[in-house]
Amino acid sequence: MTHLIAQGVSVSFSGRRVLNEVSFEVDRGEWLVIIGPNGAGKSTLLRCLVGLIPHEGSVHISGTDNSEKTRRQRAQELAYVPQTPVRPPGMTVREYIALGRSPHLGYFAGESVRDASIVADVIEVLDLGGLAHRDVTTLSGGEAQRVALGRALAQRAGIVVLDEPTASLDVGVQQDVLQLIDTLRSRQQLTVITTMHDLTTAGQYADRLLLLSEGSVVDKGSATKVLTPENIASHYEANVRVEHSDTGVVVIPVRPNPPDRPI
Amino acid sequence: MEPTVRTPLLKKGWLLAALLAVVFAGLVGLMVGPVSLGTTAALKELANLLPWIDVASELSEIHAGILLDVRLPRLVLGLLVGATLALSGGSYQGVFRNPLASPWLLGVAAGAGLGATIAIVSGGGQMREALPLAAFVGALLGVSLTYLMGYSSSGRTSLTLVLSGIAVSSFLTAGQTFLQMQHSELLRDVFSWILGGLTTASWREVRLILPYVVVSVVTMLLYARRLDVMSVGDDEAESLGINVARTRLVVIVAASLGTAAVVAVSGLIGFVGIIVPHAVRLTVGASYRVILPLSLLFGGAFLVLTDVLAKTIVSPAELPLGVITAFIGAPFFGLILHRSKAVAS
Repeated sequence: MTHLIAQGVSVSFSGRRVLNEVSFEVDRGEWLVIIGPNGAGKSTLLRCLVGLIPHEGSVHISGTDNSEKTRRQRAQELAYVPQTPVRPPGMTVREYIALGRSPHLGYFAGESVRDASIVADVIEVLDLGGLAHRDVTTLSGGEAQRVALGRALAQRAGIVVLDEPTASLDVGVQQDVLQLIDTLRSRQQLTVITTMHDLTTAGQYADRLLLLSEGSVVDKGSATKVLTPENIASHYEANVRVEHSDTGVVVIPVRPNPPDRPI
Repeated sequence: MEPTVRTPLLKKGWLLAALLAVVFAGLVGLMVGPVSLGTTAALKELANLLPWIDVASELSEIHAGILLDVRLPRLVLGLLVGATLALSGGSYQGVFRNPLASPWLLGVAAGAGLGATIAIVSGGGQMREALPLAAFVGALLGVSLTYLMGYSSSGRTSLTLVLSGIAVSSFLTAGQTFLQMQHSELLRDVFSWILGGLTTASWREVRLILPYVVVSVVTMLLYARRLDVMSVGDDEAESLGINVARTRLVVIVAASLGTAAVVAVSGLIGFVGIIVPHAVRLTVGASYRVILPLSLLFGGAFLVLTDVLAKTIVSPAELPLGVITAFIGAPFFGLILHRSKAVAS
């Protein structure tokens, strides 16, 4: 069942076209990964889905137009974690995760027992019990990413939008975070939309890929279809070898010219 | 799983401590002064103000007058001024996500200073009546100018507002300095107002500022939770359903209105708006749902106690309150900062 439809999404900054007629659909429970070289417009596209920047075209979630909803209604349907979430000094992990309940609270109301139990549930699911009273600024990169994910989950939104969820994490922590997202997705029937730099990670975890280049969609579909040496050469200007494994596609960068020295 | 209980951010113990601080400051404020009033007699006199209590007065008419028409209004005014400055400071720090933000940030002080100077200069000796109004109008004009100017192609952000505040403050302060130089014989009057104090406190001042203070304080307290959400930045706060621009406008208007009102009757009492919220942040917690209500109470108590010092240290003369708040506040704040583990980066 289609969960989100973007149609002809275009954005211009100071007369320069940053996104050009981007259209795609995401099914409920699907993981869509947006890839593309630096400056392709990936983060801008995510920000359009969240409703953070004005754009042409439309974004429909569960059949209704985003532009007809209030911020709170949008936030109840879609949670967003930017590339580097702000961690306010002095705020505990529990308080931070509880911010995710914000779109569900009345205008001047505080947290109810139900909100507190949702936050407790998120803390348990993400195994953050030991960190609940820690200051968010003292967390390691991997812990911080889990906590940011916790805030998004506390929103109880059907769609989770993550901008580069594994940027600046070491490869082990990257895998932990991605496995966690994948588990939550299947357990809670979440629709996940992420951007990714690492093409192998994208090829391993995505149900579908959207390749952006200079603001336009140049290819979309399965990892096998999109992650071809030709696509990557023409849009990333990179020389790669592509291999296929049981778990997905593996993209290996290869030096374009042979070294002078003997190997 | 354990049953979930909602743990309030603001612990009862701290709220009680803050209330006790207010009561203590209140008693000290009423009892300390050149004329000594018996504590029991004074408390009976105060109890008599309550509609359902009727006890015989033990104070002479003059002493009752000192208690009810001199010390009590000064106490109430001190509580209102301290509470509003501390609460506004905490709100400004939240809305600008800047620990250095003070209630003066957006031109309130410079505007009030210019307004008061104009009143003093143009009114000659008759300026007393018009000064609060002139300072109030000046303060609001200063903030409005800052808000109107603080707009760039990327919208109205914390940074554009702060920069605009600096420009507007410099401009208005220059105007104030120019006027002072033209009327150097009135420098003393201008400075005694600028350094702040509650010397002229009466019920009239209390009545004058009360409506503004109530509206401002209630609004800021109601927006505390939203300030917590805004601490994760504009984009993330928007994605959590907060209208950032509107929240910022409402909080700035409320904080500025309250600040303008109290500045109009008390002058520029510095430091309260920075140290009180920070002391709360460093000792109790970083949530605005904790910082704002506790700053309100501790701010009021702090100002009343410093006012007692201002009127006793060189009695019968009085020291400017702004000097005392800085003298007491700075070392106290240094101590808290030094002992704190969680320094806001």
